[in-house]
Amino acid sequence: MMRISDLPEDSPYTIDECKIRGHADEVVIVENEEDIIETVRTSGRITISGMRTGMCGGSVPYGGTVLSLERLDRVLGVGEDERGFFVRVQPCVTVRQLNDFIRRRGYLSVPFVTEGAAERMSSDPDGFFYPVDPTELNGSLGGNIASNASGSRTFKYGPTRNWVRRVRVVLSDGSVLDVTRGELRAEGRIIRIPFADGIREIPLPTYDYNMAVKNTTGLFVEDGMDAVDLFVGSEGMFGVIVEADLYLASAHPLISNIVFLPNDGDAYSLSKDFRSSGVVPEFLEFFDSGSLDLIRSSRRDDPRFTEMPDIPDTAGSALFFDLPMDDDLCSSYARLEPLIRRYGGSLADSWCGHELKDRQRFFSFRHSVPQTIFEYVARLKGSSAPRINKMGTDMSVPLDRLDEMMAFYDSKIKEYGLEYVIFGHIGNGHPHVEIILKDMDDYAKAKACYVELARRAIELGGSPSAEHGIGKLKVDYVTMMYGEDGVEEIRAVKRAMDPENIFNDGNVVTMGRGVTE
Amino acid sequence: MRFVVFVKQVPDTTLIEVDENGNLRRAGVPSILDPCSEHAMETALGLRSEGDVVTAVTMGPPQAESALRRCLEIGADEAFLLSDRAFAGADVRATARALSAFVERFAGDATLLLFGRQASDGDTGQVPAEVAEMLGREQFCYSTKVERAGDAFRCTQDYGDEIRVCSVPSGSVVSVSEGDVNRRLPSIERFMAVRNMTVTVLGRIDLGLGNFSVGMNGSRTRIVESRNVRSVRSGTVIDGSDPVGAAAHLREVL
Amino acid sequence: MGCESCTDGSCQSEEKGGLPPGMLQRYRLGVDRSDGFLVWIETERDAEGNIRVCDHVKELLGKIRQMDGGRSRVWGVIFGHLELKPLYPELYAHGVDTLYEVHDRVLSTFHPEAYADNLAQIIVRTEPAVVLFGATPRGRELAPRVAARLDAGLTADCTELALSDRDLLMTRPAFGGNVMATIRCTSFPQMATVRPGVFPVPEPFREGKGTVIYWQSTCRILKDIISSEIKRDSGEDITKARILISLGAGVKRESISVAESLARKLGGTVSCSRKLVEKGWFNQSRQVGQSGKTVAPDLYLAFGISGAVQHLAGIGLAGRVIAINRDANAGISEVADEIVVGDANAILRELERSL
Repeated sequence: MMRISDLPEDSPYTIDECKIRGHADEVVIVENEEDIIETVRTSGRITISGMRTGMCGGSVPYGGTVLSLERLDRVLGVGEDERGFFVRVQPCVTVRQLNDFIRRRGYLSVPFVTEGAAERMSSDPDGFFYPVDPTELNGSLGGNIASNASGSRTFKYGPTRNWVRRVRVVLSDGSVLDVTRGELRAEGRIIRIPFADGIREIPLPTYDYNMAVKNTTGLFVEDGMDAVDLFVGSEGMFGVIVEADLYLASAHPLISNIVFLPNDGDAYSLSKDFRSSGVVPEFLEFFDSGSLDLIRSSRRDDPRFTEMPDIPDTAGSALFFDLPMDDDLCSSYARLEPLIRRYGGSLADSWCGHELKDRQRFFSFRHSVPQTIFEYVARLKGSSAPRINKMGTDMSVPLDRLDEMMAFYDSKIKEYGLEYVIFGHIGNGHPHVEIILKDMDDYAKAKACYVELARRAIELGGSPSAEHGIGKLKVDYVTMMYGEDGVEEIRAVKRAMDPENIFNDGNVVTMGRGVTE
Repeated sequence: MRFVVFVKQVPDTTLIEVDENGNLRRAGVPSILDPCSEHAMETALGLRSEGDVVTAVTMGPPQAESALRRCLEIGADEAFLLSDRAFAGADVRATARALSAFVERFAGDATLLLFGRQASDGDTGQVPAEVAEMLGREQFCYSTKVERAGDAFRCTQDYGDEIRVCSVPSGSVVSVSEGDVNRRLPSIERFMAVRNMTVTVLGRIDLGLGNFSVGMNGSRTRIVESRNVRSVRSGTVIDGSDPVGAAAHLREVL
Repeated sequence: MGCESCTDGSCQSEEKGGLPPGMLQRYRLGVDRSDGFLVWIETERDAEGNIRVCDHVKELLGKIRQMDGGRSRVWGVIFGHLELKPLYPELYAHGVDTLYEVHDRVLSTFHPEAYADNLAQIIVRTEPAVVLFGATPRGRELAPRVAARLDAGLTADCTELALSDRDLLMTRPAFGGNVMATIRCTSFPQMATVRPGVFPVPEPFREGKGTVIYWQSTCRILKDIISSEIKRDSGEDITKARILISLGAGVKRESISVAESLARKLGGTVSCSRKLVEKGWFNQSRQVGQSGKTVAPDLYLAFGISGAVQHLAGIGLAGRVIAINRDANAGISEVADEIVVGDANAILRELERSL
């Protein structure tokens, strides 16, 4: 265990990807479970820290101890149960690390959890993959679980929650809860969690958790919910994940495709009709003309940007999707062709690629849009507007309300006199809207606009935070979604699980100590 | 005109790593069309005009067909796979022998024979010059640019200390060392068309080669020993989260 | 009996000493007469435009002397005209016993076909056991052409040579330098290209005179050179630098000028990884690694270099390797003596400022 006190002003431990700067008294870098238990027993206030890639300040501390899990970065084993194969990981294994482990088929190099699993996995000709693909591959799996991370492929495979088999958690009294899915369930809205001093009865919130859309707003809850799900997406309010089992899916070769279409509306309409063709893509991502122009202009400065061919001049929007590369592929394409033609595109006006390297290029192309904006804002931050932040939405609505939401985005943002681009997970009713800020003035307007957008998303039966979580930045949206009563119910769970408010104070709901930025 | 491009399939060396014992971890590393081969393809496709043919050729195991499929996807018109058990273990000379036999039998009319400068899996770019000599053609290595000049061609070669432009007679061997990293991507239309195309497989007999011309028998070198050499260094880790302290430390080292 | 070439008497050729019918050319493979060493003497122009012998030629001559102890004959083959005269004493002093000068004004310029043709003829005539080239761009282009002509084995890019009787054992890195493969040729002459910089440049060891043989080129295949531009040598050769400040994908563009300034202060040179060449930030001559150059500095400072195996292949001969990197487990850590974990850009800037 290593302790660092006297943290410098610009310590990496007090900031995350949303670039909000906190402060802490000390950092404890733990080596094992015993270290964590000791820290929990001795420190009054802990902010749990993995790779700090969050977008909402969830790992940004405001005082107290930062409990860094960075040294818990090993894959512990592989196993198999009725549902399938799984890997056992420490919390700070990153998504990239897990993907590499799977790609290298390192199964035999780690201890087994169940006998024979490693051999069976190694000999599987098709191999496996971890279906959750967040943009940030350097994020820790512990963090992914705590925030119920999702990615493009959530479209088909669901978020992290669907793939967690087991968690091992150090609770607020220093006891360890090791729970596998199916072992411990709530009765109605009451769940009984064993602590050192006996079983505590935890009252779960009574609100309906929105499962119809991609959603990470508030605490997940359902009747008879599994104890595992209490921790998935809890943003570290209830304990420190020290180990987890994650299921893997059977891999199948995929081909990435980008189809170019003349105007914004075309790609959007195509995305809506996509399902009617009977073709099920792995995901469906959208680029509007603004996003394509953004890439074009970056490429003018650096022709090698994104390492992709030039975007056709005629393209005004695009759809990006992966298809399984099997015998049906050509018939899938054939079924899509009339649709694509209907909206002014053609199979000739497209890109596809199936080599790993090419597929990675497609993804970097997709990620280059937020990346470009991020860098643009970072430049502003460095020069004229030091307090500016990126303003990207993370709102989802049910697919049948997406039309209304898209129209609202357009009218509302324009009403504020702002410019924006839209791209992302259109197939989930969850496109990202990035407001292009020029100065602090715009930033203030965008903040006000954002609130209106979030309110509208909730009205339409959606979520103001579809995948980034709440952290400390979006606490207000929890109130907006569930009302004061709902927030109070979440506080009740927190009080029962962590009476002294040791863990991640300020995440999801404020507990009274208040948060100062 | 006909442009014959010789390509190679290689493991994606950017993904190869070394384990603690210094052994290469090759499991799970996908095979790809060598990036330099891709540059050669790119060059050929850039030179092609109406009515011209781009032919992709590789020598390798049956799996190497996927590299040729990639060539077809990005625009080659036809593809040949030189594959035979007898080709196994070929060194530079035996490889060049098979490739030149292919040219003599199947592509004698080729306008240009294009190669990548060197394959990323450790080949050192010796094959093009050997093929050129075996066929009695001129060679143009380290070409950074090949362009049409009337009926003939002109290429720019970069020797490191000298850049020269030569006119290239028809039938020459050109090895290409540079290309656009923004690799081409096929359209879905092209991809579907390629699914119905066949790659012609040619064996030793098809090339009219004797058993002692190819593979191990046709090689003039033997590997007598190979050993792992990854030196394990002390590798002290120093915390550099504070740039000033880290710089001070480095200054001491200097 | 006519033909003397065939020992079993089955040959019907009437021509005394000639080749059997149907055979165009013969090289006495495996026949004991092959002996000695032949080196292609590559020349270059220095900053003043004067011709000089490339350092790697001296390295090769030194290595030959070290392996063989001066027992066997050493031939040199050089191309050019009158300008070569001043080089003779130096070549003799470094171990060339007999110098073949392909005496042709046109061949002062590199013409691979003509060079290969003459080299092959001279090799057939002299019958060396070993033929060596520097693994320079021209050497790599020339050697395979000669090897194909002679049907000889060729090992490219060797980093170590050893002699066992007349057999040459050639060692070269494979798979990005993780494996060293030792290779033997199965026939004479045994040919190799050798990476410049892997052997020390020796001091001259003798004075006096050798033999020069003027050779008339008969090859008329010459390149039609439209233009040729000699690159101004920046005077910085990364293979000769004692201190290298090497930059990788982890550094920002602004850091390049910082690194250059640091290099000036330290008397070092800036090199880079393949990624930055691909980005177009550096010329390939600055690239370290398998597809770039092998370097042997006393100190190698790797800023923001993750260390793909190809890159590591290029720094095997470096004295001290210090990596400055965000990731303590990056590939470069496997070869680094020290890994400073932190922001490469900030540390670089700080180091530059503090000197």
